[in-house]
Amino acid sequence: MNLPAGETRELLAAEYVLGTLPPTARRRVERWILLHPELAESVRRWEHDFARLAALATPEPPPARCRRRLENFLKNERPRRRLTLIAASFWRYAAPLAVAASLFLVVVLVERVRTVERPPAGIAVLVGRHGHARWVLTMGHDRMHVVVVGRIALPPHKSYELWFEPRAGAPMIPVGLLPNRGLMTARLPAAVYVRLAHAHLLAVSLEPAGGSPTGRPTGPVLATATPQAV
Amino acid sequence: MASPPEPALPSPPPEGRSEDPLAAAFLACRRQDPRGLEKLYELLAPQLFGFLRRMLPRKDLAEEALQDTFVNIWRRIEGYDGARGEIRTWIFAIAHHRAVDILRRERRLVPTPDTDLESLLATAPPETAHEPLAQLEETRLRDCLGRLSQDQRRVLFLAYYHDRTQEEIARRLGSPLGTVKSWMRRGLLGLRRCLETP
Repeated sequence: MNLPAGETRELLAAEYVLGTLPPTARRRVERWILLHPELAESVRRWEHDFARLAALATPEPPPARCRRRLENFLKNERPRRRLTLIAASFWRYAAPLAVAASLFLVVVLVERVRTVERPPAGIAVLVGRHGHARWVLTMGHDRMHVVVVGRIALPPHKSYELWFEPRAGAPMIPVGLLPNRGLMTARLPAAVYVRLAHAHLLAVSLEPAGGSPTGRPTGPVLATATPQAV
Repeated sequence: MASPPEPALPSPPPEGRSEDPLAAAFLACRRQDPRGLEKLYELLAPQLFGFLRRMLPRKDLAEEALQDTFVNIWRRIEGYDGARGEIRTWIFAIAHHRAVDILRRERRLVPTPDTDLESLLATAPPETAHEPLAQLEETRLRDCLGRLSQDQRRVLFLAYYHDRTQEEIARRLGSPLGTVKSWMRRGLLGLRRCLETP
């Protein structure tokens, strides 16, 4: 289905922001936002206008206890350190393994994918909970190559789905299904590449066959990665 | 060999002028200075709380949403992208999302009373003298909403302030679903045309 034009596109953007679209349509709009800057701009305009609608409410001073709660929160909140530092003990062991695996697999990938005309511009090594590299993604201008590290068990009637978190705390956006063995090459439009390569986090979850029915991860997250430029 | 596309670097906040107290507080907050968050609270908490009180059925829920909003501002501030919207838009979106989550949680337990947009429009505009642009835009929005039919306003309000689907709105108003969809479409397009008219 192609992106609608004119008023239909405007309504789609508005209803996406209002939250009145059914889940399937919402998921489609999330994909289109990545591909069509004009739709992304419409969504941004509606977000702006609806925020103004929120601001129409008559201001009301919150009770003093709300301020005290916030002050308590700030007192207890130490200056935040990066997640990578918080999880230092984990990464101390996982990172060298992941780096070694990624370097090895990049070599394998370059050997195996002879159609690559330009070097990859981004790489992500998706590491599982036990510190094992499971999938290696290399992202170029128009293609993404996926190498599965070994073979990953896939329960019946299930799929592995790749997601990205554009910024910390933002909702996950679906990218597509990943294989559980071998090599896969997918077309990667430039707009999607930019979002993926600079995403805060990539993640793989276990979903019903064909992918999450809701547009959000519904199963456990099995591996994560932070994309790196190369 | 073509070079890879330029990364989309985060843009500076559009309200980044030093004389803008909201931008100054936001930037301090981004430097992890707690005084920045306290200043943001001073500037925006009354407006956010007024909004959350409209959205949520009980005062304690509005207090919970307000607290969560400021905690989320503090924790997610590094993810703010100025190219995607203004600081206020971002903060109100956080508050709205949090309130929607609470509404969905609480709707199983208590019916959510609806407040109406007519009373909202009838009240005096809030004072946002430190943000003259915001004030102008809110005045314009009030004017444009006033040009819609009452039915069109009501369905927009129920969807945004009360997280109602079109089917729920149809049931609540006792109107056919097709009619509700038509009110919503015409209301949204009318609003867009009016807001974009020079």
